[in-house]
Amino acid sequence: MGRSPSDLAIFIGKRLLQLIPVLVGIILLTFIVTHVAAVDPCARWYPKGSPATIAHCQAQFSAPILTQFWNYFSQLLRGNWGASQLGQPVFPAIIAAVPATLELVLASLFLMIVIGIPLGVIAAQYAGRWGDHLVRVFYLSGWATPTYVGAVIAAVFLAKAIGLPSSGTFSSPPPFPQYTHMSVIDALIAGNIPYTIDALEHLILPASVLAFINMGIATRMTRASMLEVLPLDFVKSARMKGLSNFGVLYKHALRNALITTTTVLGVTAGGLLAGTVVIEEVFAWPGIGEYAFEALGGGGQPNFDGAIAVVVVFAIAVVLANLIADILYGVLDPRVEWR
Amino acid sequence: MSADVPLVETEGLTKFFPITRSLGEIVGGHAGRQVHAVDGVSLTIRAGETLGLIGESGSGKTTFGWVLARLHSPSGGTIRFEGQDVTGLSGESLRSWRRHVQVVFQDPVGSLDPRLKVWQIVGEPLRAQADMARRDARAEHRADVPKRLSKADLKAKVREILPLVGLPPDCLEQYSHEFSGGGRQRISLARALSVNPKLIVLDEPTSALDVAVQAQILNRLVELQRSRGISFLLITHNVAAVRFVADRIAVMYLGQLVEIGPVRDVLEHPLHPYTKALLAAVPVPDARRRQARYRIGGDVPTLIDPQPGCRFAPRCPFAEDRCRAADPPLVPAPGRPGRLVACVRVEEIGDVPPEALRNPAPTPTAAAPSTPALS
Repeated sequence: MGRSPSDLAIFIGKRLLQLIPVLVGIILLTFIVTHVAAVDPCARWYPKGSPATIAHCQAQFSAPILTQFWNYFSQLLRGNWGASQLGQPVFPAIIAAVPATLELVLASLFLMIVIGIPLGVIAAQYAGRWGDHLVRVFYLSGWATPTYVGAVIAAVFLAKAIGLPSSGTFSSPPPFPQYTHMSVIDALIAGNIPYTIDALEHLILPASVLAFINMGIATRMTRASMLEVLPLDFVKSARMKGLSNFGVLYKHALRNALITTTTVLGVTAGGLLAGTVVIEEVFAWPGIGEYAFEALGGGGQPNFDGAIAVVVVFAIAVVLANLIADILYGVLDPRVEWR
Repeated sequence: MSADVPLVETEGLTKFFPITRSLGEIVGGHAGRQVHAVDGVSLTIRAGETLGLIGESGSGKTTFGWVLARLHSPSGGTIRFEGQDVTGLSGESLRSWRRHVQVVFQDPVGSLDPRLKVWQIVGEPLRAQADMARRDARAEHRADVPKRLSKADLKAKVREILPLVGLPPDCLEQYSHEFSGGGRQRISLARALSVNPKLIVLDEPTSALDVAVQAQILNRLVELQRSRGISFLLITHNVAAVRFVADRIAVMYLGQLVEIGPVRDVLEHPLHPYTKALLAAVPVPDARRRQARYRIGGDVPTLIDPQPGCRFAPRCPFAEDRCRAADPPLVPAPGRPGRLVACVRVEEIGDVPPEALRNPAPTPTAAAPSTPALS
């Protein structure tokens, strides 16, 4: 235990090993929901299925529970996550949708950090005064906005008002190869400036809505931990050193306050992913959220295997996000030992 | 600087903190009340001397030190530094003045940024001052713009400072939490010394440390004073530390100065009744002297919008009507060179020993022996 790079490697390794029981648990949970708790699942998920499809499905469900679980588990591990009713395999479709969602979530995380955290500093600086109240009104209105309301307002009214696109990732199909399937990054790799700007314009509205709705937690945590840090003597020491007000607030106070905010940002990963389901559908963003919406029957074609796959992918993403937050926590606070 | 201009001179320095009014009070039109933390303190600190500032908790001594270092803006009065009025400094001029005055805080844990290494903590004031000097030079279009301090320069400078406070020079890359309390206080001291200040405000620098480490730190202070001629304002309630380190001593009670003078003279012949009570409350190992200890009763009056008159009058066994009529001025004590005292009855009280103060009960509150406010 210590803070050397090898300690960090052992720490990450241990945390990745801890992922295994978590994943088995998630798979068990989805198995129970789909195979044990469901009443007549075949009829529900294949309403227009051919007799052969129904019969195949029912044959699966008539096996002993443990056999069913083993079949389910081993198929998942082999990347055979089933197929949609139209016969499109789930696994490749999900994997193809990951980058777009990652891009959207990272963009809104970026907005949450560059807007939400300074707002928290301002709120702490003017605690109990007008600046504080204005910030509170802002993040509480974000917090209180239902995702679909925010998304629809932004896509229908705001997009027109400020002239931003509200659908898809590019205005026209890009002429360059898409290596990463993240619109902005691909355009940057191709060195195509007009397409980069176009991609950013498409990204900004969905990312802003997602950030606006989830920003409150970052602002509020930053404000609270700044209020804890500001009266401490080391902040006064920083002032005595002759640093500017900005240097005192952001270099000393905020850096220490961020230690708490970082952990909380990891927890918001779940909220961000949940938000993508509606937001990606409204903005026609080709990510997992849109896939989930369609799989749950949003397009009139429920996709049993796809819906389950989304649960598994989201669960893995939340666990990984918290692992990253834990590592960052240790990087930010030199008193933490890797263990 | 000529010898007769003191390094620091405060005149009628005050610091009031407003009390937040409740909504009912605002609607009801009540005037805002204020805590008079520092209420008209005038004193001087000469170059190269150590002034000890003692008083009970809540007497305003820490607030005074912070106002002097301009961590708080004063509510009134003036601060002159080397004859120049620095009361109104703000912004850039305040930042660049900060190199002259540094503060060492009481809490050796809370006063160091846990995210910084030793060289960053000690070197940051150097870098801040160097950056300001560079900017000034550029603004004046001078040819000799100093170069930006590199990391290596900074570390080299810090390496020179650390031995002054008894830290090994190879601890540059360590974090403050890896040190003991005494070690952290040495880092604080090194940080304060780094910009070569003329005054260091030591705010109870040893109260969180054990006795052996206290002695080491105090010895270090005495050495630094001899070798570098720095002035210290030592804020403490540790009378033994003041006796050891200070040249002069000032006594504060409820935001006001009651007595100031050469340290031995004041400690051996306290003039103000409060000083007598405070010193009598210091534990002594001598059983015969312990017999002579006495307590002052009564409640500590509030600092919120205090009444005029001597602040100590409600607890003072010698108080009479004229004590309560107006604030007693801080005036030279008759027959005692270099001493000032704020008591109108100082001559009548004279050298009445503390024992004689034990039983008289001029006020009902002072007679209550069950309230050991000072002990």
